[in-house]
Amino acid sequence: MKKRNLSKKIKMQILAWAVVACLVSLIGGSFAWYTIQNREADSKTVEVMEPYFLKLQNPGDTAELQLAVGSLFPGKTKQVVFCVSNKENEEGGNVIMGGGDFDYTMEVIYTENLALNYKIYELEKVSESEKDNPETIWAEYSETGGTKKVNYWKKKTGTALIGDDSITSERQAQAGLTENVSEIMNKGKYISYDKNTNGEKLHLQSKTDGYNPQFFVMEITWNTAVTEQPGFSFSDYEKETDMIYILVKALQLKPEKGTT
Amino acid sequence: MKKEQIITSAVMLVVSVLVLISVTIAWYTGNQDRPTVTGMQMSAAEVGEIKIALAPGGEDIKNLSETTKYADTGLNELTINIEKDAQGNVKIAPGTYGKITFYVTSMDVSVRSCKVVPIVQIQQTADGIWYPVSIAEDSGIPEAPDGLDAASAALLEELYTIVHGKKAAGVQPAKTRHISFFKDEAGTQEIDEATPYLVEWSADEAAAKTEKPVTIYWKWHYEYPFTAEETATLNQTEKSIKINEYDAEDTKLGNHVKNMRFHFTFSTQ
Repeated sequence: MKKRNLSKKIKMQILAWAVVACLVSLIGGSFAWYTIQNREADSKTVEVMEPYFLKLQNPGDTAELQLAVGSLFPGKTKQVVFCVSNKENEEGGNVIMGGGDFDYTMEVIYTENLALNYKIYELEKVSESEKDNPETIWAEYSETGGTKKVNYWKKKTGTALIGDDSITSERQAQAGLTENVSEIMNKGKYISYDKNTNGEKLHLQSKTDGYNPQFFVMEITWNTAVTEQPGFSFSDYEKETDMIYILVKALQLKPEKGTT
Repeated sequence: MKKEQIITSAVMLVVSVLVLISVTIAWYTGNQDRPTVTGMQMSAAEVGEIKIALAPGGEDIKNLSETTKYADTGLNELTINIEKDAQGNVKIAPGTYGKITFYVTSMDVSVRSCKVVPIVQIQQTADGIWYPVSIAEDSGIPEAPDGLDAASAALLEELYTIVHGKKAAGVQPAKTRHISFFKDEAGTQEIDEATPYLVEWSADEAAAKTEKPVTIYWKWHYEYPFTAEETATLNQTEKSIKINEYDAEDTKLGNHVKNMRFHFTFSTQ
């Protein structure tokens, strides 16, 4: 059989048809693509509220408070200075956001082995020149490098903060005390403070161009109503200890609609 | 000649069959939900289009300016226990909620349904990128954008999983979803990639270009959203753990995310 090539005319026809076929396939394929359309829309951009940042710090606001009271001898007064601060929030050495401008509550919890009074006073800083003034309260703290320093304060007013102990039963229930609570001898008393001596709510402002820490002193004294009773002897309490906790907390309240 | 003609015809037949097959496939992929074929329409720009407006009868958002084309979140309706930004707008925070409404019109009789899927986009700094750029497929987590170091990319993905309640690579179990979307105000019908919001038009409605409102409710759960089963079976300690975990995640979100916005994808069939 003689091999015959297709004539040029035929080849051209085939080529033309092939091109048309490709074009139609392409259009068919693109058609499929366009029939499923995606459109997008966005809402307005909204800013995220910074979480409240609240810390209980040492008297120099350099590190977290390490509460250590030590021994309280008869007739003496113990003063523990602490700081409630809105110090910058750090995570792994980097400063991240952390907001202020909120109300907070303070809670003091203590066990009652010893007949002690606990009072909290607001403090304001005074300069070192006041250090010989009998009214001046001083406290030592460590700077971040380790150097020890001393700050001085005086009480803002002679009035202590007014606490509310009605939360005691609620807290005891939260702590899981389900049995007859009155039979437990040493269960801790809970006092909560939410107002300062001016009657305003305890409030921490945002950091503006400096921290706005607040300083308080907890004064611990023997309860004279008990110690001056006939038959009372301090030596009975030589080995007794109590535990004290200080708590500060700020709750971001649930946002709502409505008027005030 | 006869042999040539046969070859030619055969080739043309094969080619025609191929063309028919491809066009048919193309047609059917575009016609998944439609039982009737109304004829071939070759103009790609007109097929599958909808109008998305922010007000009844309003302009399509693609024609609006940069200042007017974004939907209201409903945040400014909250007045109690809120914080406002420098412009006086309420900031988003745990416990906030609102609703977003679009008015969607089918612009073609062949467009009879549209799926709407919402996600939350986050911005870590005021001028940073919006993440994620596009919606995650299935229940996967979108990849972090290029150019970020490993720690930053991991953080970004973690923030996404906290907001959307997914499982980040290597995290067991899945995180609780912090911001949810619902079809109803009561929050019983959740919207997500698996169950999108579906808006449909009947043949008459599509022909009449009927506008349909699409209202999506959103909520940032104030506290861990206990299910009825969890409330009944978990003890106090287990509940406290979940509450504290949830709060810690909220704090992480608040500390690392500067801005948020809701991003909606509308897909027509």
